[in-house]
Amino acid sequence: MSIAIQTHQLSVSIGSKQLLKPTSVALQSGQLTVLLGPNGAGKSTLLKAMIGELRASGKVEVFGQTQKSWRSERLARHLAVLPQSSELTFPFSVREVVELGALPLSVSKLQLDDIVDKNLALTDVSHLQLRPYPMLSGGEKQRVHFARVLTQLAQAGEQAILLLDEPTSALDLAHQHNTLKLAKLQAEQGACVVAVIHDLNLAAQYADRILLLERGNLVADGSPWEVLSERRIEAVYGYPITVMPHPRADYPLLVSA
Amino acid sequence: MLLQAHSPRGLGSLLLMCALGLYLALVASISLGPMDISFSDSMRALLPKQSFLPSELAPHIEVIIRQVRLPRTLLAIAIGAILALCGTVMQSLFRNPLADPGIIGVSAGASLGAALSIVLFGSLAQHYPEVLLFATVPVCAFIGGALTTVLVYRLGSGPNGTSVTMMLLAGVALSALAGAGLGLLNYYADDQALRDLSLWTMGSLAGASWPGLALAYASLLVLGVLFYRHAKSLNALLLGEAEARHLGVNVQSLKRFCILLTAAGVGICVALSGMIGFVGLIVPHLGRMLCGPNHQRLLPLAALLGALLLLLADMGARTLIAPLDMPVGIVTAILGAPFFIVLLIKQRGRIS
Repeated sequence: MSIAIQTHQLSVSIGSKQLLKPTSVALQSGQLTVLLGPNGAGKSTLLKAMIGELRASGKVEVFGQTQKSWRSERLARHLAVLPQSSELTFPFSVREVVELGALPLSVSKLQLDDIVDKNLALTDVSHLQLRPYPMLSGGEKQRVHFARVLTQLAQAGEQAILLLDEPTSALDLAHQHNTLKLAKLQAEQGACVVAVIHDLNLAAQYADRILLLERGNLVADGSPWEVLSERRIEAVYGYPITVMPHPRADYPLLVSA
Repeated sequence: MLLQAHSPRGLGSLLLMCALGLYLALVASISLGPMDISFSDSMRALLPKQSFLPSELAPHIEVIIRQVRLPRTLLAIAIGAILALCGTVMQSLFRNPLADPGIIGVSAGASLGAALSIVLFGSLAQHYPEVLLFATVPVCAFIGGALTTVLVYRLGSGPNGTSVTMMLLAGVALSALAGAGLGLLNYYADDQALRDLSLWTMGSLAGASWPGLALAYASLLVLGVLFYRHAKSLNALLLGEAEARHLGVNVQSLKRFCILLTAAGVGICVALSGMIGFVGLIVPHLGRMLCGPNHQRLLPLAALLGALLLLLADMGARTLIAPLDMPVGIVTAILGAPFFIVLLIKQRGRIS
């Protein structure tokens, strides 16, 4: 398994407050890595620092090359970010929004049509493709953007990174699972997928690997079974829980103790 | 409920229809005016002198058509197109459909710059060649416009994107300041400069000249090409700055580029025809209704629609209270201000 993103002593400070303590971590291709932690633990900070959205010290390598030395048009082909929400208010059609993902690509109109058709179907928004984007519900918008970032990665080849910043926060039960299934599918096809998630059970069900953060520190790193122990979760979240095996599948189930 | 994003009609037929409308308006505009000149005479006056046709046109008719109506018509087309392009790009830069060079004070800043240069350099006219003055006014208007855009942008945008309220209020403040500056200049202006200044406050196409036309069309060409080359990046910018960066767009330089070019466009328009408001507000909306917000389609359509709108408005300005010639800025404001109010009502829920 190859390393997609490697951070070296990456840290973020605002004033005298260190939001992220120096963190060195290697994120693999072909895995869905979930960043967990209570509010303010530094999950989004780590995600944003990895892509240069925040002023950070330390070093980030993307596919073995320092993040800063990538040309931005080139990097955009390999690294896509699904935002928490988008402020798009202009009346693009859904299909046009998905086509915006093709900006860094070099494809013919015909190839693009194929790619867009495929991704519209994958995120289950084909039936909405002629609708104006601003009229959609929050969950539909989220899926449209998922189709957009998948389009962006259409020419990523072996080197794809997909970062999801709280992709399930605005979604209902079915769409939470659909979104994470799609994320998992991308990982299975070789992408390095990193997601910030709040729901511990969603993380337990879908993550290949969990990074648990607490007040800017990386406190645990491993499979859901390794990371999600009763003692550790209670210590980090300050709330008692019970961990049990899921009755029908092999992942932990967390309930309030 | 609007079920489709926009009419599926092809862009080609839309552009064709606009071009046809523009052509008809152009012909009408040339044969229309306080002086009653027949349609066939107006068209004949445009033709090069032909020795084999006995010329029965009175010389003053030829002068009116060639020196007055034709330049004015052509100027309306160029200014309308430039204002519409700048309005479109400015709305994308602010990611807000309420942005307009007039409303957010850019035109006011540009006209203050222009007025300053008229008063300062106009009094030096004996020592200052006319050609230089001709070049100074647009440059000062550009500087005034650029400074205002940067200020409004700084005031209006915070860490969470652009705030409409802040942007509009910054425009109010800067317009008031520029208005005060213009008023102050009135006291220092001599008679000739005063006449020129009064033009700046309402906007008029009556001062069309051939060198001005050359400047207008050269700017239209340059702006049109440069904006169109950034159409895809501008589309991405509408998603948000972070999203555009993730798509590989150099957002910082794109924004700088937009601010400079719109200020240049508005500055040149103000220098040539004064403050003509609301074209940059109305036209992008009409364009988006017809073909959606995709800049690759919207920019060409907006240029044509802007030209058509300003030409029609100027025909109104020339004929509504004939034989008086009212500033075209009054007509665009009569059309545009209610349009702006309707937009405000529609956006009421979203502002704040």
